[in-house]
Amino acid sequence: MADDPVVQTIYIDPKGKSLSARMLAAYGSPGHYSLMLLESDRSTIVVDWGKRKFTTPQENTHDLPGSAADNIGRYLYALTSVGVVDPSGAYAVIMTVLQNKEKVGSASDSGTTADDTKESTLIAHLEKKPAEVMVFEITAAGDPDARLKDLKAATVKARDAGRKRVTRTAKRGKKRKPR
Amino acid sequence: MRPILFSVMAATLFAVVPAHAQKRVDFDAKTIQGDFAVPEAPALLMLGVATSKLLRPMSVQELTSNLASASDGFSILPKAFGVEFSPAMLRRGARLSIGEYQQNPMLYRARLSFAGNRDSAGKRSQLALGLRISLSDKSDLRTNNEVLTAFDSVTSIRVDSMRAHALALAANHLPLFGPYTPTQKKLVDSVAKYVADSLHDALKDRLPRAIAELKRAKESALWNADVLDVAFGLKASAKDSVAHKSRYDGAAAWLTKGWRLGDASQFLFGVRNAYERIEDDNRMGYNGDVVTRFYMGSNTAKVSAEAQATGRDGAKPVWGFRIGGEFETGRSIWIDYAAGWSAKGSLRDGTLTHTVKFNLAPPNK
Repeated sequence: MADDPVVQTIYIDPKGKSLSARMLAAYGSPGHYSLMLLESDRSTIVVDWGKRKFTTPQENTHDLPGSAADNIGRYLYALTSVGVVDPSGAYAVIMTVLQNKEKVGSASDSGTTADDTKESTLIAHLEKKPAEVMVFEITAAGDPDARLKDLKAATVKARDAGRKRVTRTAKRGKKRKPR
Repeated sequence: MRPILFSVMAATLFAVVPAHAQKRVDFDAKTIQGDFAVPEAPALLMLGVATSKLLRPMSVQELTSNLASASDGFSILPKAFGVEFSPAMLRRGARLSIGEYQQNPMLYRARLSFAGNRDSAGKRSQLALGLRISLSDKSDLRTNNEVLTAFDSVTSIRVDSMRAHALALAANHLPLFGPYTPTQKKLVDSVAKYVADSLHDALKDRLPRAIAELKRAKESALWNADVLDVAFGLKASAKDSVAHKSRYDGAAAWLTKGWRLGDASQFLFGVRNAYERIEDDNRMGYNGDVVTRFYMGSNTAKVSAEAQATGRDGAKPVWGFRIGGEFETGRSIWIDYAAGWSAKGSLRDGTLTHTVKFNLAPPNK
């Protein structure tokens, strides 16, 4: 049966376009999966796509309802069972989250097994992209030739900038409090 | 006297364990097809490199690491070494869906092999390159309809079971996964037990039946499926390991066609043709074989009949006929036996041949 679930936090841009989830059983494995979108309480089912067969990435891509912001805090919950057909016993199941058809993150389970089938539970926690990550990406995108040390410096700078903002906001909030 | 004789026989049997145990792991028709069949790794066969030297990398990193370790530092030609891989699977396997595989199975089945043999001083270092293509292969689990239907049944039941558990938790307003509070944990365990009991009753026969059907379908596909394989190989050699005075040493081609005849038998036709350097007089020459084989049986016993003709440049043709088989006498003990007729030039000038071998192999499941 399935091992411990694979839980992955995936950061999305709340102002970006709508989201979708793509299920894949790699190494040409046959099998089935079940995909659900859960509320942040982890028990209320927002959408249940039911049981599906692994076929092609196009057919195994499912659009999430509402805007990207509506889905922040929610969970994508996938249960999979795949046939192990590679002679090496290799298997891999991947749940990829897409925003505007571009990959923003994934949760996956892979390895080798001597069993005929492999069961997995994949969970993606959809979270708002933190401020420092957004600043970092802008810096990296603005300078395509940025070397690793420049990227590290940009990350530190962005993180410090984020901290300062948080500190200032906290101080302002404190001042407004009536004594 | 008798105990000593038995001890010697037992020691002999156990002495052959590692070699035979490895050969028997993939116990299907391909393993008994012999040298005439399209080889798994043509490059290895061309150089006579032992299959124990064969590596099958699963990723590009593994492939480069294998090649780096084999090249042994500064030399270009590797020491005794073989690698076999599917370039398309290596490149796309980790993100290849079954639908994409089925659109072009031949591409993903095509396998390249490289082999190197850097001998001791005085001998030339050899290098070979091979390509094997399965034009049609019913033993391919990703395209065999019977196997896929069986996989569908098992995976469908398994996902249904997992879904039943998740839906039961949701219906009871419990989180589908942890972390849980102590109160939630008790309720989750209670729901899980109830669902497990219900599923046990509902799937009591269905799941074991589906698993048994999957095993049967896989065995059937691997045992005597229709196949059409072709392979090509090239070999070259150099005076030393840094490829000085390199030269072309030959090419070879193989073709095997296998027809499934009912549930328990298969007819195979194989051809090999090569144009390669003849070691003794250092000139190039043709040689080839044509082989047909019929065999019948199961995983535990089989009989076969085989006819072979071999021709070489400047030599008389060699003819061979053989009837034989192998059977499992007990757990893990196999007896191979064969009797035949071998002749060079004229069939009338032949001699009788026979062999009996005892092998130790893992039991078939």
